[in-house]
Amino acid sequence: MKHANAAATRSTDPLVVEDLSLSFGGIRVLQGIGLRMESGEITGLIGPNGAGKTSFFNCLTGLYTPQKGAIRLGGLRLEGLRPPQRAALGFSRSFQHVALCPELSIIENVMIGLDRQSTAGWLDAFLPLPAGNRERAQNRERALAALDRLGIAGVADDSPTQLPPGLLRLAEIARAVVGDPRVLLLDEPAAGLNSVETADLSAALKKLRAEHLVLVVVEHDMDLIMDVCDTIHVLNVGTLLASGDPGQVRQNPDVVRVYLGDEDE
Amino acid sequence: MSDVILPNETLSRDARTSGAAPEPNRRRWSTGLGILGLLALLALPLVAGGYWTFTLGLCFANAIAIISVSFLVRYGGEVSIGHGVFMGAGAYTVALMEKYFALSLLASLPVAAVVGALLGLVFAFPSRHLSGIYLAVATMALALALPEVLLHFSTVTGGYGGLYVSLDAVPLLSKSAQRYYLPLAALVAVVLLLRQFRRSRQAMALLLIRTSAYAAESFGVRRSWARLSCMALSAAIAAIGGAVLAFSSSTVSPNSFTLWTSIFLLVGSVVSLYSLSVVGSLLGGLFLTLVPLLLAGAGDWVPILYGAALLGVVLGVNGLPESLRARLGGGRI
Repeated sequence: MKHANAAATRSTDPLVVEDLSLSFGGIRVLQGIGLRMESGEITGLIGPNGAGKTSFFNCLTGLYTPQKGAIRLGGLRLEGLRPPQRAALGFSRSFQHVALCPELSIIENVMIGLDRQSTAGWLDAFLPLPAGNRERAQNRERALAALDRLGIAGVADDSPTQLPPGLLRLAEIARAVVGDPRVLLLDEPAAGLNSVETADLSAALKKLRAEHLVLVVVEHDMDLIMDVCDTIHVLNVGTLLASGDPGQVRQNPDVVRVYLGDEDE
Repeated sequence: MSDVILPNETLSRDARTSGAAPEPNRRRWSTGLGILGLLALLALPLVAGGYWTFTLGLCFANAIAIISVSFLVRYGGEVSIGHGVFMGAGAYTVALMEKYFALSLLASLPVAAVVGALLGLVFAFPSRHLSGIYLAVATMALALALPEVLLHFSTVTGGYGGLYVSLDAVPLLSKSAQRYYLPLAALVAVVLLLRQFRRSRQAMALLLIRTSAYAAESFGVRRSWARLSCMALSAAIAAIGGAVLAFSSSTVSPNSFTLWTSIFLLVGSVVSLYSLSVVGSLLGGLFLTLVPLLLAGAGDWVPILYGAALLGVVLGVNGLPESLRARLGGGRI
């Protein structure tokens, strides 16, 4: 697994979805979706309510297993892998509802993002042994650097219960990026944020763009998506309606019809 | 689950005080108070009579077992009414190692902890998908079974009469001093080990998986790993408590580890506010050890008075200011 991880982390292969279909009972939620999410880009995924964004996202994170189609990262087939196995391949994510532990400080929450790369064993957990202490100090440094990258290093030792939603959202993104992921999936990062917080988030997301990172953002906030994304895919009733850069998507008559309503109806 | 068990104010307070850089003044104060309290406990046998020394020795042992239940609540978000079994495993390990190998507590204590952990694993594996009330009932079944198992193997376990633990653990110290100081040392050691544990990556992973299992899984933490580790550690702590209890009371018998033992451990844990600190767990230990003694003359009224005392303590503790409650709850751990 480690070799696969290392290979995946070095490569700049895109995350490719081919002919993906998902249904619950007899209801088809996603039908024949095929798209590429490139390394070094920020890819946006939008669509009206019920378009299948969350279902598609859950297929990427490993929560759902599609009945048909493939999800590939380079030579690796992913569709049968559970979330912990995808984490081992360098997948990381944030959550629509902030999922930080209230009993841990912000920096401790971020340090969990380094858990899969840490080697401290049970003896290190109970005794102040040099190797364990060293690793803990290194992890703290890295977590602090990730918080700093998102501009919130000042709240490192605060409790999540004391902070506003905007900061918590950034802290969650810090946890997701601290382990230098290969694929970063952000689930509605602007949900519940005010306009100032959304602007901060937008600036933070642009800073995350990196050559080896496939960054996917599912979002309702069109301004944010248009501002940060290089490529946007639009879903509608379980199918891929349009793909392109923000300008192309904005001009696309199908997208306009879906978002603004058809005048003939 | 956890929010049901732990009041939210306690959580936020814990988090606030568990950061890497708490106010230095406050830290100095609590360290100073802790050392003073410990010195007082160390000096106590010089002024207190043999009866109190003996009772407090039992109280320290009970406090360790209470910590084991609190550990499961805090790190696993689960309630057990079967921890008397793991305690019993530790106690019988000490007694049997003395009976068959003539080894004293110092040699048998680590073995007892390992036996407890293994038993915890054996129980946790088949029950790893259970939680909440279902897990609690499963642990209860364990507690109900233990006395029967001990009686079934009476040639080994000594049946109803049980076994004696009489070997000295520390040669030059009097027996009564050993029965006081060894449990005290074990309690302090367990608390210090758990304090170190709280800073580990394993502790952080357990706490996250308790509050957001799906988030923890996305970072590679597995649910079954969390359950097995939590139960094994908790059972090992309970076994350490049982081992020193066997040494302090100098005897083990099936009567010492019934369903009631397990229920009282849970009661003690509630009274201590699921504390992992010396002070908090001692509060639970004192309640567990002293209230039955104080009520001994009340005859048939004992259960009712006991229940009333429990209510009194819980309501009284909840009436304390939040900062004091957090301190009792072992905020820094």
